[in-house]
Amino acid sequence: MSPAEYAIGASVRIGTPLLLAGLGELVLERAGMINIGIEGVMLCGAFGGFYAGWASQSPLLGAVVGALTGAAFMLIFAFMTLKIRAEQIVTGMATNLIAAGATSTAFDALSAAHPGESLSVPHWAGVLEQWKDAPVIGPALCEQTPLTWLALALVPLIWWYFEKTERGLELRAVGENPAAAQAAGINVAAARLKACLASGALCGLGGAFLTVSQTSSYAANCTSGRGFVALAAVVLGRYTTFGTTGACILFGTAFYLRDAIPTHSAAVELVEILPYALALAALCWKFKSGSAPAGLGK
Amino acid sequence: MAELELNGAARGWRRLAWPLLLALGTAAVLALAIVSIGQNPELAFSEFVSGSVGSLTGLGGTAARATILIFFALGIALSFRAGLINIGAEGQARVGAAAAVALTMGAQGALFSAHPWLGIPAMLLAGAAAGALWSLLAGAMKRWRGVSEVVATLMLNFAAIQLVRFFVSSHDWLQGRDTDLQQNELPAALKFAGWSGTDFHWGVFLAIPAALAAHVFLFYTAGGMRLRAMGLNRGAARACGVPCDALTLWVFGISGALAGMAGALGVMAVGKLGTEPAYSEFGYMAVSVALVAELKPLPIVAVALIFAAMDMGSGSMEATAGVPHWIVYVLNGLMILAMLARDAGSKNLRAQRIGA
Repeated sequence: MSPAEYAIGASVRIGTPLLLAGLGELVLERAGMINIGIEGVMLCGAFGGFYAGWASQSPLLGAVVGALTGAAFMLIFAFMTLKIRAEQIVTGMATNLIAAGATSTAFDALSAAHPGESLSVPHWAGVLEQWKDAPVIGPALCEQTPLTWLALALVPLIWWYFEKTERGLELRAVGENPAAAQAAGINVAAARLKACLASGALCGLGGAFLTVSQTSSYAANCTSGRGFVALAAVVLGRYTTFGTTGACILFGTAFYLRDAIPTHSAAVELVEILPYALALAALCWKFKSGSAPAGLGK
Repeated sequence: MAELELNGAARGWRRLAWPLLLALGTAAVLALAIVSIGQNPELAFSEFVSGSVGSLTGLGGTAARATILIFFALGIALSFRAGLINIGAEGQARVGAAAAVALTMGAQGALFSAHPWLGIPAMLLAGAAAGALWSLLAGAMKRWRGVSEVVATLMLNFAAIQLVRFFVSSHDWLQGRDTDLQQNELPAALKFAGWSGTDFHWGVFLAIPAALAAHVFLFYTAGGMRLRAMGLNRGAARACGVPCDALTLWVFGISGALAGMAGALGVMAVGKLGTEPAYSEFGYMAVSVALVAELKPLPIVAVALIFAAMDMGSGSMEATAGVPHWIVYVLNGLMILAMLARDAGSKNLRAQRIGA
C-alpha cells in the first residue's frame, strides 16, 4: 500500500466519527436547536457501545447499543428544552458534564470490578477486506467497517430528506420559524423530539465508532473534543449537508496529518486550532445563502 | 396570593429552601452513586469533609479555588445579565495566564522579580488585558458581524487552549531558556506563597472587593441599569437610548478581563504554567456557579465556596476512599439542570431568562 493510499484510508477512518456527529448536530440545528453537549452524547455512545460490544463480544451489537445510548441520553436534552423550555446552551453544558462524569465513573467501576483484565471489543473486520488492495477505493472504503459506509450513505439520504421530502421541509420550517410552523399546523415539539432522537443516535454512533471500530477499547473522555470539532464543522459547512460533510472530511485529513507528524512539534497545536479558526472565519464571512436557521435556539 | 403575605424573613427562608434542597439532593445522589459502585459512603463522606472544610489544608485549598471561581462567575454573571451568553471564561483565563507568564520572561522579568510589588500587579494587569482582548474578539464578531457569541466564545476556548499549549511547548522559540515551561517555575518572588503550608494566599482577598464592586455596579449605577435593561429586552433598551453596541463591547471586555485576571492569579498561586493549567475546566464550572447564584454577585461568593469545597473534597475522596472524582461532574450538571428547571418554572425569572 502506498503512503498516499494509507493516508486516504486513515483520513476516512478519522473523519467517520466527525461525520456521524456532524450530521447529528446538523439535523438538530436544522430543526432550530443547538446542543453544545454533543461531546457528551458521543461519550455516552462510546461507553454504551463499548460496554455492549465487550459484554456480547460483538462489535455490531456494540454499535447498535451505542446509537441507542446516544438517543436515550438526548432525551434529557429534549425534556429540558422542549418540555421545561430551559435555555439550550446551558442545558447542553450541563448534559455534557453529566455525560463526562457518568461515563468515567461507570468505566472506573467497571475496571475496578475486573482488575487485571484488558477490557476490549473484538476486532471488526472491514466490509470488503478481500478487495483492500484495490487502488484508492481499497484503503478508502473496502478496509473500513460498515459504520463508515453507513455514514457516507447517510449524507445523500439526509440531503434528500431535507430538500426533497415534505417532512424535511416541515423540519426546516420548524427551524426557521417555530411560531409560524406551529400556526401552520406542524407539531413543533414532536418534530423537534424526533430530531433530538435522530441526532442522539447519530452522535452516539459516532462515539461508538471510536470504541468498537477504531480502538476496540475505552478510556475516560476518549472522544477528546471531537463533539466540538463536529460543531465547528456544521458552522463551517454553513448548515448544509454537503458543506458539513466536506468540513468533516477536511478536518479528518487535517487530524491525520497531525498524527502523522513523527515527533512532537509546534505544528500539532496549530493543526488542532484549524477547525476552530476556520469555523470562526466562516462565521464572520457573510454568504448570500445557506446561513444559520433563523429560529436557532428559540 | 400566599407569596404576598410572606414577610421579609419568611421570604428569605423560602429563598434559602431551594439551595438547601439542592444540597440535600446532591448528598443523596452522591451517597447512592457511591454505594452503587461498591464503596463505603461513610468513609467517602468523612474524606470529603476533611478534604474540603474539615482541615486547614482543605480550607486553604477551598478558599484559593473559590477565588478563581468568583472571578470567572462575576464576569459570566455580567455577560448573562446583559443577555450575552459568553461561555469563553476558560479560554480567556488561559490566555491571561500565558500573558502573565510571558511578562516574567526576559529583561523585565529580572526587574519584576526584584520588585514584586511592581511585578505582581503588572502580571495581573497583563492577564486582565490579554483576557479582555481575547474576549473582545468574540465581542467584535458579535458587534460587527452578528455572529452568535455562544459559538464564537466556545470556538475561541479551544483555540486558546491550543495556542497556550503551543506557547508552552515551543517557548524556547520565544525566549530560549528552558524547553518546557512545565519545569520552568515562576521566580519565587512572583509566586503567592501559601499560608502555613496550605494553598491559601493573599490573592484570595481580591475576590471579595471584586464581588462588592460588581454588586454596586450592577444594582446601584446607571451603567448597571443599562446593562440589565439590555439583557431584559434589547430592542426596548435601544429605543430608550441605551448604546447597546458599545455596551456589548464593554461587557465582553470586562468579563474577559475578570477571567484573564483569574488566570493570572491561578498561575501565580500554582507557580508555573503547564500545558494543562491547575484550574482547568473551572471556566465551565463557573457557569454553574453564576447560575446557581441567580447571576447575583454577592451570592456568587457563597456558591463559589460550595463548589470549590466540592472540588477539593472530591479530590481527597478519590485519593483515599477510591470514589472517582468524576461523580462531582455529574452533580454539577444535575445542579445546573435543577436551577434551569426552577428558573423556567417561575414566571418572574422567565422574563429575564437569558437569551429568550
